[in-house]
Amino acid sequence: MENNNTENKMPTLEVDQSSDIDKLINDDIETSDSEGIVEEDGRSGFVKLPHGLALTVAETYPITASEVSKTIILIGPFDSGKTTIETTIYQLFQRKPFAGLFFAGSQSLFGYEERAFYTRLESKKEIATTPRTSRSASEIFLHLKLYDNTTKTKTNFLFGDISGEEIYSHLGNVETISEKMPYLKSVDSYVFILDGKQLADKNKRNGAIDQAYTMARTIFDAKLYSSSTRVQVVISKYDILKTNDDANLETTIDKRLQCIVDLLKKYVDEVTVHRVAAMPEPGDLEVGYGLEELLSTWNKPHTDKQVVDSYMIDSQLDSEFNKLIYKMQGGLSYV
Amino acid sequence: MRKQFSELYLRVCAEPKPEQLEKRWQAIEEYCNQDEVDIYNLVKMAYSLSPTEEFKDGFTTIFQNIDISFQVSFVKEQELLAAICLMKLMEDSGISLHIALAVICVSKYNIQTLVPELGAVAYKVFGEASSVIRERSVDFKKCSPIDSNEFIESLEELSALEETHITGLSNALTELVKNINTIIQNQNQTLNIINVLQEDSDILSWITGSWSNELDNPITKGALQKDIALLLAKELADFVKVIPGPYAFEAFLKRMLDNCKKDTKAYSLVTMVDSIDDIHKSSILSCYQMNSGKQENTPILFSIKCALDAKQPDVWKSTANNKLSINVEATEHEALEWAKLLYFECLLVKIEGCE
Repeated sequence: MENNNTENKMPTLEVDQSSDIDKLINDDIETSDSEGIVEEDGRSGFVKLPHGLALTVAETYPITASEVSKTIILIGPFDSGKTTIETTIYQLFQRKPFAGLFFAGSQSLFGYEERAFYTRLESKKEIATTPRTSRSASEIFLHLKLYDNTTKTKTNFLFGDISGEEIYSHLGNVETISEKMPYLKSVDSYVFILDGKQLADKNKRNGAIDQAYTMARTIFDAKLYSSSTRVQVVISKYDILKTNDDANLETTIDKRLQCIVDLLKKYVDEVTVHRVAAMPEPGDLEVGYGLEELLSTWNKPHTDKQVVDSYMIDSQLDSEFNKLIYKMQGGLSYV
Repeated sequence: MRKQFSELYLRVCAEPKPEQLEKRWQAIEEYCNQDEVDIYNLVKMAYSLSPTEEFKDGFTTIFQNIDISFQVSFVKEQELLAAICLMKLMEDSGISLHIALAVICVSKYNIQTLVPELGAVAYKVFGEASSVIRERSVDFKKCSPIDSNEFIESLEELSALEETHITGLSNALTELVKNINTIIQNQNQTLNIINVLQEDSDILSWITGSWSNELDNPITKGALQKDIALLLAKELADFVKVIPGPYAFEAFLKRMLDNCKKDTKAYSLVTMVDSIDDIHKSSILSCYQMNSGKQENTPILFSIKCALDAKQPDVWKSTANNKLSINVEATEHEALEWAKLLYFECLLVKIEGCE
């Protein structure tokens, strides 16, 4: 009996030992700078584990530098459903593949769980919600690695969990936003979220659309995009919009959204509009409505097809032989 | 380029430290300043097309020597750096056209690249180089007249050379040599003009004839574009005497293809290659083939070789897929686009043979 008791006894730590172990754990978890990486690699038997929380901008480097990655930045006002979209996508992988993709890992599982908790039954809330994103948080990226069985490739998705106020504090100020958030220049997709609940409200609708327009303009005037950046304009909480009595509501909204789409098309080639209900209230729409299409849009590969493969020169041509390039093709001028 | 580098680097490191950026740029400059640059492996690296291990080691060593923390496992970063090296080399070096052609040849296979701008730069370099051939004005120099009759007469009466005569002879010789050099320069220019005119004449005659030299038949509406596109690309490349050939090459290919039945369908490389018979495959390869080690940089020519070696349609594709690291079935283009790509490959083989 005595022996059994000894075996079942939980190991205890002396105070001094525990502080050593804390130090050891912290060493492993801490995101080291570039010199630190070499030291870590040199320590045989040690595997550096991710801390599991949302990643800081600097912590995305080992991911983006080593594997195919896509950075998705969701932008929208407070309570527009940014975090709900991010976490619902993660949760949809819990049971089965989604959008033809398989879950292949995440370095921010705690970050996801932290945010997803409020949408689950365990949180004992009547309506599924996600916590408000903290403005001062530097850990902004949620990481999801997905495997595409068709192309046999893995892609890392980094979702920018940026608070609404963070973008709003730069509204109309082109310089400060590019100084404070230079990493936005390498974004693959911007997702401008319009709150479906606000769009359904006649008194708030125009304000919500105007806000999105100004935000988009601020970001693109600050040149925070590249030739391959895509934009998705997303109407969140679509379930609320769908149950609205006004039959012309969606047509009215579509017309107003067109001005945002037109603005964005001046900067980037690919702008798409999506309707999403990540966590709809019980009704016709199922959980994650519209997210499959959205994820597929993000997952579309960036290839050289996006490059203008024009070799046309800007200067005037004098040689008649050179001019045949236009003349023989019906006089069409090339762009 | 330095500023552009800083922005492009954000695609693999969203928040780089200034010293990290500085060290990377320093290494890029060191790599580009080497006496010899292996552009073919560099292109493969930029497009994730399996460069050789030896090349990878050499490339990463340069970066590691400057920054010990540079990670060999960060392959995407290396791809981006390789693309930036290519862009810098196209901007600065005398081999910009060579690099541009090498980039264009692999740039249309739906490869996920971190720097799609690389392809755009390459096309721009090609456009400028091909247009300038026929745009620049001819600059013939005149020989300076030498009035040496008096001096020659004075030499005839001499029994021995004096110092003044030696100086006079030296001056006369210098003038002669100068004039000969002018004549040589003019002759080279004339030769170049003749080559360009010959090229123009051949191409215009080819188009007027609506005739395929490879098939030795007229091109009629009975022919399918996919069956003839690659042959026409080879035929047009045959006429090129001054690399990179005519600026209006696409219009010429299109005009010739328009003689066939109208077709806007997209075809895979497998379909395009299997559409031509073995005799014509051999004919293409007899004129245009890269040395081993560089063959993967010309995917169409390499696929033709694989198909010819296999001697059966379709079965060659797995060999080509493995060696090229490109899915030859998945990439689809219209016949004209395939013709353009093979034309570029033929030009690359030509330029490789010239240097």
